[in-house]
Amino acid sequence: MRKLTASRRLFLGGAAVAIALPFFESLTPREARGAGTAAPKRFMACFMPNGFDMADFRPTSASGTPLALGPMMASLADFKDHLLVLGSLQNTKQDHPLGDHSGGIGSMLTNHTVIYDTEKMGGPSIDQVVAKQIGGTTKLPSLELAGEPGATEGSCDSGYRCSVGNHIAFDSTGTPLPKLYDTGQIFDRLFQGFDPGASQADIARRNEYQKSILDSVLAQATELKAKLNAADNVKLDEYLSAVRQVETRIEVSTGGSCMPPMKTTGQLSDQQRAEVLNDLVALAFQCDITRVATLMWGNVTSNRNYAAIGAAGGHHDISHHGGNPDNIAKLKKIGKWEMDRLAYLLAKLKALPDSDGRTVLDNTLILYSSDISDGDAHNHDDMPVLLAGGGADFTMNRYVDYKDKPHFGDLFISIANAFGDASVTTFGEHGTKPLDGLKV
Amino acid sequence: MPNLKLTAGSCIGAVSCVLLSVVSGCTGFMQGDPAGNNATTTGPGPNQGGSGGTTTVGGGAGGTTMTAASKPEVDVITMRRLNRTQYSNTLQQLTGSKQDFAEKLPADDLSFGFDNIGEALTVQPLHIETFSSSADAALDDLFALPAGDATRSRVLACDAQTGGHACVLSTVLAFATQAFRRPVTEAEVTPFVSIADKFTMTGGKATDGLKLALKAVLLSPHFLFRVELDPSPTAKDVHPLSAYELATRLSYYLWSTMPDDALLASAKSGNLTTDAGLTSEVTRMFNDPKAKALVSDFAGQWLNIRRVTAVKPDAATYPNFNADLAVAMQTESSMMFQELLAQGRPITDLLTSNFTFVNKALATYYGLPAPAGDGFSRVMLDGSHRAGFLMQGSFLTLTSNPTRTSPVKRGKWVLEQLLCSPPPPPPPGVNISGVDGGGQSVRAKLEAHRAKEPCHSCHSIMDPIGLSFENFDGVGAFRAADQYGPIDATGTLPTAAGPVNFNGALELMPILVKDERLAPCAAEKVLTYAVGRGFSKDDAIAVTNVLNATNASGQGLRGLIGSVALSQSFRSRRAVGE
Repeated sequence: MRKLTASRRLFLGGAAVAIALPFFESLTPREARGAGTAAPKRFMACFMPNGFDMADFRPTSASGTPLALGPMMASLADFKDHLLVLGSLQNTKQDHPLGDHSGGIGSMLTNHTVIYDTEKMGGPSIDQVVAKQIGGTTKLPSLELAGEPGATEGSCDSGYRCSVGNHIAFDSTGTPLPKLYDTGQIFDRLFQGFDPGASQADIARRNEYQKSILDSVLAQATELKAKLNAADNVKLDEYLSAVRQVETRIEVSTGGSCMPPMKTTGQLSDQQRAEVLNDLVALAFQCDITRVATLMWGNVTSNRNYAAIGAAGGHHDISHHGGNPDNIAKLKKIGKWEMDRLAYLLAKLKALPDSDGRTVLDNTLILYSSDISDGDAHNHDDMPVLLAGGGADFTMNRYVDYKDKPHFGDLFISIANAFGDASVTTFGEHGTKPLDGLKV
Repeated sequence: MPNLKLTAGSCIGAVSCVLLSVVSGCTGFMQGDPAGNNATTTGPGPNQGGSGGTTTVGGGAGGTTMTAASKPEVDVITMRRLNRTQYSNTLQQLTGSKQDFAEKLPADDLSFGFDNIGEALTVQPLHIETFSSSADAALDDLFALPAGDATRSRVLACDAQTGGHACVLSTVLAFATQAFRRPVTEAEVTPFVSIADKFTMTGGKATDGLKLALKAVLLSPHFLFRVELDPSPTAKDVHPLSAYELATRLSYYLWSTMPDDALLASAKSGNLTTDAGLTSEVTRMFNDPKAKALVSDFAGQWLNIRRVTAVKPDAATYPNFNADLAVAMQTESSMMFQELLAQGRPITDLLTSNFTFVNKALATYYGLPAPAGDGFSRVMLDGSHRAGFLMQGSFLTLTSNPTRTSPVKRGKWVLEQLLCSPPPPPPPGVNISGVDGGGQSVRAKLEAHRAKEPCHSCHSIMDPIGLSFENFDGVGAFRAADQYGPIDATGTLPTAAGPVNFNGALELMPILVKDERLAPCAAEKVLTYAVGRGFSKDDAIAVTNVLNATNASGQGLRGLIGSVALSQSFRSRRAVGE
């Protein structure tokens, strides 16, 4: 594959056919918003598998003082004003006996304990709480993305179902939201139905009949419901809820849209995939196709081979470093690479002008974390937590280390409140109050 | 996973460590007397006898008989949505479209190792949106078929432009009958036909109106789910499936797609619900090319063959490995499984078969004489380093890390997938630091690791199994030595008759095939795949009955698959559990 200038080109599912246009600059939202209009807020959560080398992750500055970044975050230096690093939070109960990876994944955004042999989580996850608050009339309430394909066989994590190890986003019933891996599929999800040639009347007629079809199958399902046992009705309820949500979106969606860039197909390197995913999120945010996104860069115990950056081996295998200096050196490289990809996203969002005259980054909050802290110790306290962007009214450019090890739930109360949902006063199992110290 | 109620630090002392091994499935030793003449060595499975609550099927703890209450043979299952493979196959069959609709859908979550378990098959807005756009695409393909095409003639038997309401009604009724896999009443499709009528009466083209009605069929819960009804949704009684429900179960089990006309005819006549009728349909379907779904979907997941092409061994470490070889390895394992099925071979042949299938590239890779021609040929393995699935490139590659073998993964895989005795992860608080010291052979590292409690109870089983494969590198190539010196593939496994020594994987297989857990485990996997709920050691009655029927059939793996179709677990259901 030839060398890429990724910042200027978009690869979508790509047989290496680049769009040689600086596409972001060429795209204008269909209903261009004038400067000074209030811009929407956006929220994104990123899951990176297998923890980090915490020595390199942790800022070198003292708690409460302006940020001095550790070696892993060197490439984020330009964005310090948009960063807040939180130390010593915990994402699930530390005494969880088995399968720490899934234990930290299902709980990452829900703050509920993951139960063995159970398909559902306690829900909803914070992204869905925020989506309900700010989703507005966008085409998609939220967008769930994956950096690895779903498992195709075998077990995922001892004692746990795959559904709680391969998802971070869960609806209010604790059912996982499926995530998309293929960049072509993601493209279709963002731009499906985009038909610049269709008149308003055409679109209205199409929507009317789509709704008629959904109404007819809803009626059929409702009739079926009375005949089904309890187990089957769980599934039929999922169906009813999903169809109603699709129907509601048809009714309310008046949100932004964009002229889609060209879609291409083919193999992607890890770096290309990360950049395409970030490009798509940035595009979806700027065009107001959605305001909430989650990205799982890997599945539970992801064993991706980072040979391309001099860290050959399986990531999960390496993360059980056993004190081996070679493994630790590789983990530092992987963590640095992951932060470099975040820097790419932040740069992208910072370069996008928003309707209020600020940048999209100024109106976005990104939560960045993992399932565990140190891959060898498998601990769930001292979690790596990074907040980026200006989407919440938090005081950035700081490191805050919490001595009393609060749960993620407290942070989620603060995030929900920051996005305008004051009704959230508890979250999950352990969130009891807004997290102190986010604002000074 | 039953009884996993361990608390932090529960496995510190020797007594609680024994408990850990018992409740978690890490038994103290292999189950089966290697000196004895266990039925698994000669037949498809042991005749365990009995179907009560006391049984040795599924393996007891420490080789002793465990008394445990079995679940009822017929337990509650959750209504299954078509998974993405089944959805794509079915939509293609209904409309004649050749598009791959599976890859448009998000991946289905696995449960109990399979992607067709009702509880894990969710429905979210993304699914509905994708079903909707896929229905549009498939129907466009249907209407674009040339006149005279068989599918077009069957589905679009009249011209909606000239035939009006009557044509639309008959078309939708016939289509829904196919799509719902059962007789459909006019009342059921009337709301769909009304959409078409309204569209046409307001100036739309009649064929476009018909498409809307057909699309509604494809979004109906009766199409997307495999609906099975109970006489009462709240009664505990076990009752047989209706003939059409059974036809649908059978079709998705053996073919991963909808029933064909012959199967529906057998349901209509009532023949299918008789033992003879069901047996005859199973035989017919087994011999249909669509039964290859058992290889790609059942064996592909049970043996993990699906993943071989997705693992990415490190190119610098393994310069001789490439994507074509991965595909060849996948083909090899698939063809061997197909052959064992076709020939009705015993389950144990999976581990011991002295033949395989190779193309030129794979033969060269294995050091076998290259077959003539470009395709795959059946070759004998006598005198080679290999026998059975566990010495094929696929298994050896998919259980390795990108740059090295993982004897632990290989040993764990055997316990998990072949003996249904998954070891638990390390208990909390276990300090595994320092195990990977570097500069040591993998055997030396594991020995240091295994010496520690509480690691010993599980690793004394996992490690010797995994280390026996050390003559095969991380991409399945044979090696006499690695960077640390000559390979030592010797091992000792504790058994009921005392420790047994072996040297290498070829010598391990005769010990493994005598393990009493092998046949019940295979039965658990087939039942799980067929019925759509997790079968485990708690299902001794269901497993025993299936294994008895399998033994009586004398048809090994093939008999097992047929016996499951004939079992009460498969043919009956209940609304509420006991």
